[in-house]
Amino acid sequence: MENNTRIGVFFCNCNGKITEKVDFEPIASEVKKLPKVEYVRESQNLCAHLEGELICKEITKNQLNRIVVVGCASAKEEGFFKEVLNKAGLNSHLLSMVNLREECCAVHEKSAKSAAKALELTKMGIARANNLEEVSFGEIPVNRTVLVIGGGLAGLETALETAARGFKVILIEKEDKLGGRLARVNSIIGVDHNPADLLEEKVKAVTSNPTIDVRTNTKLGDLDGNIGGFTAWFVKDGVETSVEVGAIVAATGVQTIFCPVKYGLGIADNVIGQMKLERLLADGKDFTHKRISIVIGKGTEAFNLPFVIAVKNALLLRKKFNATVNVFYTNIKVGGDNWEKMYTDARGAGVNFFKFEDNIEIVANNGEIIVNYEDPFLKGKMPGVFKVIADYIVIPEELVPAEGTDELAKILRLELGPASFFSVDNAHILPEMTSRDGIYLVGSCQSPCFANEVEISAKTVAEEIFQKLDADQVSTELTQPYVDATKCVVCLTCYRCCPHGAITIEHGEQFKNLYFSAAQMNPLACRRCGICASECPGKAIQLPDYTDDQILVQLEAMEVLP
Amino acid sequence: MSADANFQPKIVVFACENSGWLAAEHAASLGLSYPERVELIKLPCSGKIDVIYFMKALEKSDGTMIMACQQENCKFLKGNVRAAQRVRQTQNLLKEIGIEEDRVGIFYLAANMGHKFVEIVQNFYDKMRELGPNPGKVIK
Ligand SMILES: Cc1cc2nc3c(=O)[nH]c(=O)nc-3n(C[C@H](O)[C@H](O)[C@H](O)COP(=O)(O)OP(=O)(O)OC[C@H]3O[C@@H](n4cnc5c(N)ncnc54)[C@H](O)[C@@H]3O)c2cc1C
Ligand code: SF4
Ligand code: SF4
Repeated sequence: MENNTRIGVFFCNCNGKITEKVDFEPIASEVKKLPKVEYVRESQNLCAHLEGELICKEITKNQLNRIVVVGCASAKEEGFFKEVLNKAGLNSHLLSMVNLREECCAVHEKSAKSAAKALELTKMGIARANNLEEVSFGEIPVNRTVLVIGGGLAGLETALETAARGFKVILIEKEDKLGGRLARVNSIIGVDHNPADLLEEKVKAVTSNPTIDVRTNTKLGDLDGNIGGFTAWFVKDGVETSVEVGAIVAATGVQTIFCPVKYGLGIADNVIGQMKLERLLADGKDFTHKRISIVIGKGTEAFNLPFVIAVKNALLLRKKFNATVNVFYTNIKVGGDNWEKMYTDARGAGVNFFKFEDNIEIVANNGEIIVNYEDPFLKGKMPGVFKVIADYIVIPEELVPAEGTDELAKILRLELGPASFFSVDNAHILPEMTSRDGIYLVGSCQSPCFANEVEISAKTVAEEIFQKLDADQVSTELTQPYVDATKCVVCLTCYRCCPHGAITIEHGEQFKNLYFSAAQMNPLACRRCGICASECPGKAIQLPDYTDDQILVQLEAMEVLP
Repeated sequence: MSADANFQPKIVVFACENSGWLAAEHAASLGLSYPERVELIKLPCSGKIDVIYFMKALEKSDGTMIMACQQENCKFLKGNVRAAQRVRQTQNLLKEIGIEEDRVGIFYLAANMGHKFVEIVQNFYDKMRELGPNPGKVIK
């Protein structure tokens, strides 16, 4: 096709918006002189439906194989013209759009200078058209097994949701049994199930499902490949086994670290962490008429879990045991369904809330806990320190990612985000996505979350995987960069710098270089940023639609002015 | 200061299609305006910029820049960091051959910053006016 390039240039005056600023005639007469330009046409409104059909006809009649549209170049119009090309039997990548409207007409007055710019932009678009290349579709065989890492509520839900969509699931858990954190929680707000029952129900559903393969005492040791074709190595009792999977879900959760020293306290029976309190309540410990102080603050403010749990348990202790409950807080964060109400209910039930800034001192004294507290609001009117005596004090544990999360992140080639939890790709678009397609996050491993959020995340991820791996073969446009193996020296620069882990080094006789190897970009994992192409020291990589030639010829087409 | 008060520099703007390119469209929709001799070339990410693109652009123009997403906010995580490295490499080359380093730059903005787009372009344009014609231009 290269020797036989026939370019069609279609001008659109965008219902006069363009022609009121630039005249097409002088541009058209210049353009007609350019080599390979076989056809030039002006239209009132190119993106109108009938025009699409007309363009199709003209393409066929004039045997055009490169199309330049001079008008606007927004994504919507580009989509329209791509479809027109498809209908005319041309590959949709043989289209070059020149943004005359936004880049010239809308921002400049009619003048000799803007006319010169319009001509130059058109010439640049035509130069690019000369170098356009087709992009084909490929059928990629994919593995439809999903690996779920972590057997807490998040892992269990995800296993059930993906299995329900027809996937085979392998669930690995590093401990000897399933359940995770929730197994130690007394009650869950927003879910009218007792956590133990809820877990039992989920564990039963998972273990009795023949498509879910549960492996306890198992960790991920290594990982290779990309979405649709990962190879995962499991380690169990020091023995490695490998499996092929198509997608991976991390559901490794959180761990809590009890740190009373931070509050000036030592280890004692009446100094209780929030997690421990959950356990004690579940085990039926009696708190009748006890005096209980609950403190939240000192760096635990990063997540709202400690606040909500404190309010939840304050209300419970007050109602169930008629305890005297005093909550000391720096801040109360109860942004969520019904949480504000829970807070008001707690106040209504007689839980006292005291705000403190830094002015709090906690001392243990003969089995009692004394909180010396200065009220920031009453300071002027009633100066002095208040003394609040309690039988128990409840303090929040530190919430940190599960042990080994950093190691797992290295294996998965993911970055860690705030507070070393797994980093989400874009918190606003899809908080379950990571920087790598085919690897997802559910539950507390991305940030401590609640049971009701887990269910939504698990469904979202299962649906996402279902859409990506909907059959044993997925059809995809091969827009990923391609590598000229003769120039690749297997230096691994691209492999290291790809932000989406989309590159692998492949070996074989077809790679004509010293090493019979070359970097290859996975079409399902690549997001077309082109970073690898510009980093490759051997200039072996080209990104379709943005090849070096396609960019440099645009510069070549520019006129040099003194 | 340029000797010629009428000097009108030409500028090539490489624009990331997630920020600079959209900001240019935004500027157009706001009805703003900027000098004519500023021309855009679209890239999928600022990380696609290459030293050779800058050098070629400087054969044709008086100054060139890459427009990238805000720092720490690149759609592809590290593209804008890599672009900044490309700019430094180009500046080193320019220094070696005796051309002002300021003729190449990186600027950060978001898609909805039409005003910022115009401000960046105008400031850069004014700076190039001060520097005068690029001695490295290849006039055929
Ligand atoms: C004190 C406290 C009180 C709470 N109270 C409530 C409440 O009232 N209401 C509510 O909705 N939520 C509450 N929660 C939150 C609730 O427990 C979590 O939402 C839920 O447990 C999250 O589950 P998960 O599966 O994400 O994490 P986890 O339950 O932590 O499970 C993670 C699992 O992954 C395993 N694992 C970790 N690393 C690896 C690895 N590398 N390889 C293999 N397996 C691994 C772990 O062993 C564990 O089994 C509370 C949490 C705490 C800490
Ligand atoms: S950066 Fe270039 S030369 Fe190095 S491995 Fe990748 S393709 Fe090969
Ligand atoms: S274009 Fe970007 S996402 Fe695709 S392989 Fe290259 S660096 Fe990775």
